[in-house]
Amino acid sequence: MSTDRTIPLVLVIDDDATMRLMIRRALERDGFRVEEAADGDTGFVAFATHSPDVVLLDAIMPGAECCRQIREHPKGKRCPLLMITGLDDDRSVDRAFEAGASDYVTKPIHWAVLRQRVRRLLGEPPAPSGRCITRLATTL
Amino acid sequence: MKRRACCGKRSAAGSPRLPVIALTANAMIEDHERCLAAGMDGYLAKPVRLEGLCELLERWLSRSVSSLSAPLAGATSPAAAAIDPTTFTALQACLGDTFPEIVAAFLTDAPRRIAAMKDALAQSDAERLCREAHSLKSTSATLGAGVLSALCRTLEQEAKAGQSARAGRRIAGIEQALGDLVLSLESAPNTRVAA
Repeated sequence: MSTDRTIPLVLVIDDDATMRLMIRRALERDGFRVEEAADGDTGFVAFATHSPDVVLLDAIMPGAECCRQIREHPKGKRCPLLMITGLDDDRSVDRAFEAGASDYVTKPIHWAVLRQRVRRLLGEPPAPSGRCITRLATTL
Repeated sequence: MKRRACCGKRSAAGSPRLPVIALTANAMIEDHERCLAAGMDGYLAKPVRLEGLCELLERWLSRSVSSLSAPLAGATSPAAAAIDPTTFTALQACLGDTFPEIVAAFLTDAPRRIAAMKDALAQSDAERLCREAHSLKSTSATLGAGVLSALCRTLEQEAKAGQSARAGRRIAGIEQALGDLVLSLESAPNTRVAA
């Protein structure tokens, strides 16, 4: 993995190892650096240690509490925080915003949406149509 | 009109009698009779059931169609239905050559989740059962394993509602769906992991 500090760093906090790996590989292919944590406590420590540019956080595990904790950290006030919620989980979406999430994406993850949301939160221009846009093209 | 035209052409051809099977969405008995009255030899209602199709073909071709039914069976078997091609292809496109690594990680993790579900059920730990079902539901849905994901969702909802009477059967169903998924992945391109 690249350690170039000019490349945006995404911290992925999710208790599911397969999901973390999928997100990591997808984001790395899009040119981001990725750090990951399996629970809220290590996620919070990783946040304080690595000062990521964006945090991706599962809404159930570790959940909104971790989001709140990060928001209370001096570096966490303005860090974009993207929650990952279940498709039909309205309650998690509400709780995510109450806890200070910047935005959310739903599981199953739509890769083009994830990619563009992360870019938007970083203030980057939208990615040109590429690998992950294939899905949009096939479902339209 | 079409029925008569079709069977008329057959008799005019002068060749050995060609069996004609009606394929129709109308499942009423009158439709069946109309087809036979028009000179057709059989009748198959849509949606076509594979067994029905094979039975008719075997009857009219006077030979076994096992060679035909094998690939056809593959198209509608649980193994083929185990994966939603759109989701699966999108993930493949997104992950490129790291895709086999993800599939391998999933196939290592999923049996552990199922073992944890069984353990949670044995311990009457509904909360853990719910959590394990939730995790496998999410990862399998992201992979495009719709059947497996739906079964996990049912288990999760029942566990959340405190209903454990059917949990054992649900877990057995999930295990079966994972088996179908493995078969399906084995035949899918670009999913094999280098040993």
